[in-house]
Amino acid sequence: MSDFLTDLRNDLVDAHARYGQRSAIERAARAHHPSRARLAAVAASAAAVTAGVVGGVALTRGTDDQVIGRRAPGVVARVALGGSATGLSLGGVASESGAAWIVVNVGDVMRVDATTNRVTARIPVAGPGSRLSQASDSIASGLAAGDGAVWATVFRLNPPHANETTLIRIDPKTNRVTRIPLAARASSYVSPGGSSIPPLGFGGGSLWVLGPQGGARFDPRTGAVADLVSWGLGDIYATDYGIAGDDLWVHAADGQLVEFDARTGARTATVAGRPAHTVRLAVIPGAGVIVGEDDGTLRRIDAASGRALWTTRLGDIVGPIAVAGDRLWAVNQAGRFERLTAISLATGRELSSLRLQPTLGTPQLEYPLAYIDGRVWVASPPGHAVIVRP
Amino acid sequence: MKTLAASTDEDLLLAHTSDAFGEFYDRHARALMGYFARRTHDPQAAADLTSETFASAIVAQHRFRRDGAPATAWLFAIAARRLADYQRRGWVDERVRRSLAMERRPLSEEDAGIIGMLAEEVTFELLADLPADQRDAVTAHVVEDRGYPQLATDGSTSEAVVRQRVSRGLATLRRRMGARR
Repeated sequence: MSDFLTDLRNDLVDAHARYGQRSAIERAARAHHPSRARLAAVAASAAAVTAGVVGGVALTRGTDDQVIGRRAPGVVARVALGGSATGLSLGGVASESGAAWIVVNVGDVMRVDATTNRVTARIPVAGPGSRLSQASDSIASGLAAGDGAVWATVFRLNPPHANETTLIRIDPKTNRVTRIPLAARASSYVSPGGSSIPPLGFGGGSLWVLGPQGGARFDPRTGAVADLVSWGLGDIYATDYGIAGDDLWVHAADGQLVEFDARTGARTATVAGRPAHTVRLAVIPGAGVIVGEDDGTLRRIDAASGRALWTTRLGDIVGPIAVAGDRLWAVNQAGRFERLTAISLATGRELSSLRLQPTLGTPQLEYPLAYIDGRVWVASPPGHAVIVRP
Repeated sequence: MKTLAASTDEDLLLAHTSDAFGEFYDRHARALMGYFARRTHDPQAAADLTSETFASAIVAQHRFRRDGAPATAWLFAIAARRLADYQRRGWVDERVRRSLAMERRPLSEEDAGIIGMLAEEVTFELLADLPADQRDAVTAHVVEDRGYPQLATDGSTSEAVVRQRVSRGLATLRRRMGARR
């Protein structure tokens, strides 16, 4: 064994022992002290009884695995997907034709009927009959829906086809797949030198394949490249993207946020920001963008003024976020638990929170989520879609 | 009671002991390193991804279930996510390793050579062409995973000599593999 692997083994075994001790201490502490959530719920119950308030908003049962706040988001269903739903930086869950479309194993798209919550089709996109992409060199890198179709991108990792990107169109009427290879010019534009696995988004009536230096805009009717749009960042590269309505927001490595008109690719706003390793964007069409940072900070940026309307802190890590009506939904980590938390778009105030364990869980928060027909869908790494009623 | 060596991968993960995790690491570290090396063509990135993947496995271990995916599939699912993240960003996110207070280990030239071999899946044909002392040393150390002290004892020579043979053998293999491309 090489010195590196030997040293790494020793480091890991030591880290394992420390982590085990830390976990035991945390379990002991929880066993001896009521949780903050329970205290909050007891206090809220007492206040409600004192004031004689009846009806309206239900108080919580006050257990840590349920709800903090005034109204419970209830789990409507858990759907087994038959594969891990993770790995996409944008999309992952999309809505079209009364169904949720979810990428699993970064290779298959699962179609789930949004009324019956049943899986009705598994559609291989990363290769013939793809079921597990672990050893595959083709991976689905994006998912989006729009203009009556579901779209995915597939990226090749290894020579001789390394860095080739293919656009996949799924017809929701038949589940038939049409493959549209990106022209070399567009492919190298969105992934120069294979530097990035390009995500996909739909906005402004166009399909966008997104890259660190610029994006390729496609006509969804033909799949033809309509435009190659530079982000205009110079030597700085884009790290994350958000797209909804007619707005496309790009986050750059130096922290700046740039807004584009998704219909034309025209640059419409630039907002200075602070550098952050991992950023999640959720677009509020016509109004701005929410920025989630890896330290748990959430900021709402106003498109017109470029100013932060509110800033809040949500646990230790913020994962995927999505805007739904007057709420922002976020997967976040607080302590050792992943949660699905609703926040007021107007104030940034936490409205409710649902613990996702034990169904969900990986060290990093990769839980694609989307708002579909009045419900929040959260897809999980262990292979479930959790459907929540707000 | 089963020994660690006789335990299945699933038993090792469910034991939740550091020794069992060490055994699990021993079984899969090289395969995982090769997996990353073949896909990144960058020994340092492969090393960092291997480190981050096993660190992630420590944190996620309590969620592993016997009735879920097999342990190797579970590990490689974590690995695939780390790889996809690396491919997307162009750098290795080492948040989990840092959260466990583990230092980043630098690679020696020899480490890089061994990782390169794991990536290339070097053939025995190439190995067979090496001078006998180098072939035996590389085979014993890299393929059979035997440590330098043991090889020195078995060969009645010094560790320095064994290291030199391995190093020269790897350098020769790298040159020959380069010439084949």
